[in-house]
Amino acid sequence: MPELPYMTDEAKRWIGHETVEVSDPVSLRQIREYLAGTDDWNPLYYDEEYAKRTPYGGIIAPRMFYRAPLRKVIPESELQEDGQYPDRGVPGVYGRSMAGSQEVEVFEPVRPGDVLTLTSTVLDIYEKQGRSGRLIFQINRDSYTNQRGEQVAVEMKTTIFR
Amino acid sequence: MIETTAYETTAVGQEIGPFVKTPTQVTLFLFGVAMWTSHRIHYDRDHALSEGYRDVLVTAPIMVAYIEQMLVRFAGDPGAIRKISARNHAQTHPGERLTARGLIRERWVEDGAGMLRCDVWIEKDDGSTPVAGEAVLRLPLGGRPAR
Repeated sequence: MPELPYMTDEAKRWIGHETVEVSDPVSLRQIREYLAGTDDWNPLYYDEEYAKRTPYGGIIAPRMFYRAPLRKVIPESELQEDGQYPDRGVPGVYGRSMAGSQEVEVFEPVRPGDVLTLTSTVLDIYEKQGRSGRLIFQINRDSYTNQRGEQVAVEMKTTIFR
Repeated sequence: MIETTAYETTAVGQEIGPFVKTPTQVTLFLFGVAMWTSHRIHYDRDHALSEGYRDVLVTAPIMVAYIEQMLVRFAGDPGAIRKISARNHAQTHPGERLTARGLIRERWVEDGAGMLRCDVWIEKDDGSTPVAGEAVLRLPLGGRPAR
């Protein structure tokens, strides 16, 4: 096996590939868990009485919450040895993955009960010589929409394999 | 009521924040519940050491959430946030004090609203910036003064 990270010719064939995932309905509890994790206690996010009196007309989730409902829950036996999801990166890319950068445009707020759809497109995969050696970059465009077909967020995401 | 900062009260060169948080190991657990961060580098210290880190790592999305909170406090309305970009530059470990900061770089009027382009970043006490990027805010024309 070549030294990590490496990519095979197969990896390049996944450029342009699209995957679609649909979330479970967003619950008040999941929003509340996110507030606890980010220590963000704006009443707009948890107090229905308060939120009703705002232009939003009800509770909304924080702007950056949209990812949480699409984080997959999978059995421990299917996780990689380092605890990562088994499907990080496309087939043919090998290495330890880490988050590189993200660029997010946010539109409609997420509300309790929303069902989000994530359409993820592989835009590019390439090798680059970094200061500490070779790195592989995978760029995805992740589009999040809600059950009304409204755009919630569009994210350009870079995953680095080292 | 949501009181939104008026575009007219903002200026290029104006600072946003600071907004200070110190995430702990418990923070990482709580965030993991919401975001399902199963990657062991975020909670298994032995594993983090085996990957060459000196402790478990604070996930970048927590730091982006702190930038978001700083921007919401400034703008008044979460809906004012239109765009956030963030690049990860350095590792952050539990117990390190993080200061979110911003700086207004550009202002313009578009579609009947005031737009701001700001540099945003997280600073550690040692001066390093683990996360840095840019935000675009959309503010109403006419409204309350900036805090």
